[in-house]
Amino acid sequence: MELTLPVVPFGVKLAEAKAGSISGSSGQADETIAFPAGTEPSSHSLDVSVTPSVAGTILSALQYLTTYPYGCTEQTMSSFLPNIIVAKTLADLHIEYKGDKTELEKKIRAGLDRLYDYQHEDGGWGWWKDDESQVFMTAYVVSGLGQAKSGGYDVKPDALQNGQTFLQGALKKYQKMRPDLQAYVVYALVQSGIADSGQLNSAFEKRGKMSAQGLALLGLALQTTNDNRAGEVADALEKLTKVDDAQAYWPSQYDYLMEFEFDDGPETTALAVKLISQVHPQSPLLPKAALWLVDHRDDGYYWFSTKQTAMVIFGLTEYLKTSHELDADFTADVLVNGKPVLTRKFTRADTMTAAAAVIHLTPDQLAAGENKIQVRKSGGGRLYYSARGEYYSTEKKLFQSNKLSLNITRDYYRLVPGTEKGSEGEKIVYHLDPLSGTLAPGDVVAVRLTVGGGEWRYLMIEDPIPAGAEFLERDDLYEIKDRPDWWGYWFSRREFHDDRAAIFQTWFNQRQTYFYLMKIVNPGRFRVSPALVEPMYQPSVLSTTDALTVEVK
Amino acid sequence: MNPLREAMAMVWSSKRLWLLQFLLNPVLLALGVWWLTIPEAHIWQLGLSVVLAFVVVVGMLWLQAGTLVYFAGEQTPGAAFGSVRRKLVAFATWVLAMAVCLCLVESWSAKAYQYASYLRSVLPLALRRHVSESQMDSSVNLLFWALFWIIVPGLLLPLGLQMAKRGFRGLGNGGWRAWARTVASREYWPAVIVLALVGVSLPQEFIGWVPKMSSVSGQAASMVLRFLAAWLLAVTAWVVLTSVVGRFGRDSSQVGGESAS
Repeated sequence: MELTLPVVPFGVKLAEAKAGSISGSSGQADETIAFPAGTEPSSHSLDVSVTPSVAGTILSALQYLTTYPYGCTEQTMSSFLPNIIVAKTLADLHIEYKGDKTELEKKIRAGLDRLYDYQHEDGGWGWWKDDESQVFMTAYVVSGLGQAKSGGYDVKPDALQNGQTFLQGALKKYQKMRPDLQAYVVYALVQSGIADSGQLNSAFEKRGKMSAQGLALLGLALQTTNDNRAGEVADALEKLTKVDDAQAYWPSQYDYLMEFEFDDGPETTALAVKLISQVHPQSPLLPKAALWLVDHRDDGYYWFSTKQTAMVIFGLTEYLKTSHELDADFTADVLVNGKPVLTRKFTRADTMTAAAAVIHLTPDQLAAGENKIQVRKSGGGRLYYSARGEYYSTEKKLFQSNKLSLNITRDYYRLVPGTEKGSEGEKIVYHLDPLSGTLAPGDVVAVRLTVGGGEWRYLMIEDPIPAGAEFLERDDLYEIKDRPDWWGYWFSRREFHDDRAAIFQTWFNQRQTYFYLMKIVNPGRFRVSPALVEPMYQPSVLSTTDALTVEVK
Repeated sequence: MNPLREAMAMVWSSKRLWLLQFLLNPVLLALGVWWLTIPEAHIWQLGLSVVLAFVVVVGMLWLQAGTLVYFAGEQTPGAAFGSVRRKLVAFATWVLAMAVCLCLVESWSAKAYQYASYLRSVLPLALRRHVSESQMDSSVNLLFWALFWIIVPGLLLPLGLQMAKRGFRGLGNGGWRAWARTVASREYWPAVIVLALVGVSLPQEFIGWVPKMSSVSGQAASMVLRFLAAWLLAVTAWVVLTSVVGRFGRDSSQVGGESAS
C-alpha cells in the first residue's frame, strides 16, 4: 500500500508578490522576491506567470477564487459568479474558454445550493448561515443571482424574490443609509430585474455625498436601465481619476460597503472601468486603468481578497469587451537568478485563447535569500507578468506577534476523566488540566483560543493542530466538571479541516474565547505552528500565538 | 506618632467638622439631584436653576477646600472656611483637572479586558501557564482601581490643598515644594492606601452584601443599615484623608515645629 501524505512546513505561511507589464517592441522588467533569513528553505516556492492579454490575467485570478478554501456567503458567490461572467464574455468575444465546463457547472450548482441554504428567514444573507443578515451581503448575493439568471442559469425564484424584498425593506428602513451602500443596493436590485425610478432618483440625489465607488455603482444602475443620467455620473467619475502618462486609477482608503479602512483602490478602479467601458468605451482612461489594475495584483496573480478579486474581474471583463488586445507577437523569456526558466512565443492566436504561461519553481531551483527575476519581451504587444513567492517563516518576530488592537492566545488543556454520581447512576465527567508534560495516545485535549483587541469585523482564526491529532466534532458529548465560562459557542462559524481549525467571527469587540477538542492519535514529537487571527478582508493585519511542541509517548 | 493615627486623632478632636461632612454632602447631593429635575419653562425656573447650580457647586467646593485647609494648620474650622473664600476659583480649577484625570483613567479602564488579553498574549508560555485569564483580568482591574482611587487622588490631593490654601500661588515654588514633600513621603502612601480600602472597598462590600432575610421589612432595614454604614465609612475615610493630606502639606515651619515637639 502506498499513501501520499502532505507535509505542512512549520511556521507562519507568508508570501511576497510582484506584478507588472512590459510594452513597446522589446523590454525587460527586473523584480526581486526575497525569502527572509530564518525561513525554512524547503518551504520556499515561486510562481511566475506571463500572458499577452488582460484575459489571461483574469483566468489566473479565477483560479484563486475557485480554489479558495473557505466558503462564506461572499466567497461562495465570488467562487462561481466571476466564472459565469468571464465564460459568457469570452464566448461573446469568440475567445476560447479553456476551463472545464462540466466542473464549472458543478461548482455553480453547488454554490447556488449553498447560498440558498445560507439565506435567512428574513430573506437576507449574513457572512455565514447563522449570523445576522447584512445589507451589503444581501445586495452582493441578489446582484449575483440576478447576473446568474441573465447568464442563463436557473435561479430559485423565491430565493431571489425574498432577497429583493429584504433589500427594498432596508432602503425604506434605513433612510440614512450610506450613499455608497444605497447605490449598491439599487444597483443590485436593478441587476436582479427591479428598476424602481423612485429608488434610482433617491440614490441619484445623493451622488454629491458618494465616493468614486458609489458613483460607479450608481452609474452602472442607471446605465442598466438606459437612464441618460449615467453619462453625467460617468463624467463626474472621470473627474476623480488620478492619471499620469501610463496609468490611471481611482484612489480609496475606505470600504464604504463593508465599512472598514482599507486600500480599496482596485475595487473602486474596477467599478469605474466597468461603468466607463459601458458609457464612454473610447475613453483614453480605460487602457491606463486596466493596466493599473493588472499591475496592482498585490498578491501576485490575484488582488487583496476574494471580494476585491471578484470585483476587479467584473471590471476587467467589461473592459475586455471594448479593448482590442489582439496584436501580440512576441517572445517572453523568464530568468530566475540568471538561469532561463521559461520561454514562450505568444501570437495573436494566444490572445484568442486567453493563454498564460506559468512556471512553478521548487526550493532546489531557488536561492535561499534573494531571487532576481528578469522578464524579457521581444516583439510587439503587451506582456503582463506576475511573480509570487511563498514560504513558511520561523522568524521569531512572527511568533507571538500581537498588538493591543488584535491579539491571540492559545492554551491547551488535557481532559482528565473522573466519575460522578448523577440521577442515573455513575457517569464520566472531565476536568480541565492546563497541559504540561507529555501526552499519550487516546488523550483528549481542549484547545482554547482567546482573541483580544478593539472592534473588528469578519475575523478569521486559523489554528493548526499537531500532526498526530484528530478533531472531535461532538464536543457536546464531553461533560466538563465546573465548566468554565469560555466553554461556549460564540463563533459565527467553526470548520475543521485536515490540518487546522478555522473559526470565523462576523462582529468582534474586545474579547472572545473559542474552543475545540482533539484526540491524540499517534505517538511522536510534533511541532505546532502558531495560530493566527486576521480580518479576512484586511489581510495586512495579522496576529499570531507562540508555537508549541507536543510530545506523545 | 504614626501619621494615620495622628490624622485620626485630629479628626476625633474635630467632630463638628466630621458631622458637617457627614450631613452637608448628602444635602448638597440631594440639591444636585433636584436641580436635574427643574424644568426651564419659565424665567423663574431658569433663575432657580442657575442659583441652585451655583449653591451646589460653591457649597461643595467650600466644604472640601475648608476641610483640607483646616487640617493643614488653621486654628479653627471657621477660620479655615473664611480663609478659602477667595481661593475657590483656584480650587475649582484643580477640581476640574482632577476630574479630567479621573475621566481619563475611567476611559482607559473601559478597555481593561483588552489590556489584559494583550498582556497575557505576550507572556512567555512557561509564565502564561501560571497566569489564568481571570487572574490577568483581576490584576489589570486592580491596577485601574488603584490608579483611580489611590494614585491619581494621592498625587493630586496635595496640590489641591496648596491651591485651596494659597490660590493660584499654590502652583508656585512653595506649593510644589509642599507637594513634593508629601508625595515623596514613605508614610503618606500607606495611609492613602488604607483609607482607600476603608473608604471605597469596604463600603462597596457593605452595599454588595445581601444578608439572608426572610421578611421584606428585614431586607429594607438591612439595606438602610448597610448604606448608612457604607456612608459612615466613606465620609470618615475622606475626612481622615484630608487630615493626612493637611498634615503633610503644612508649611515647613509648622512641620519642623511638630517634629521638634
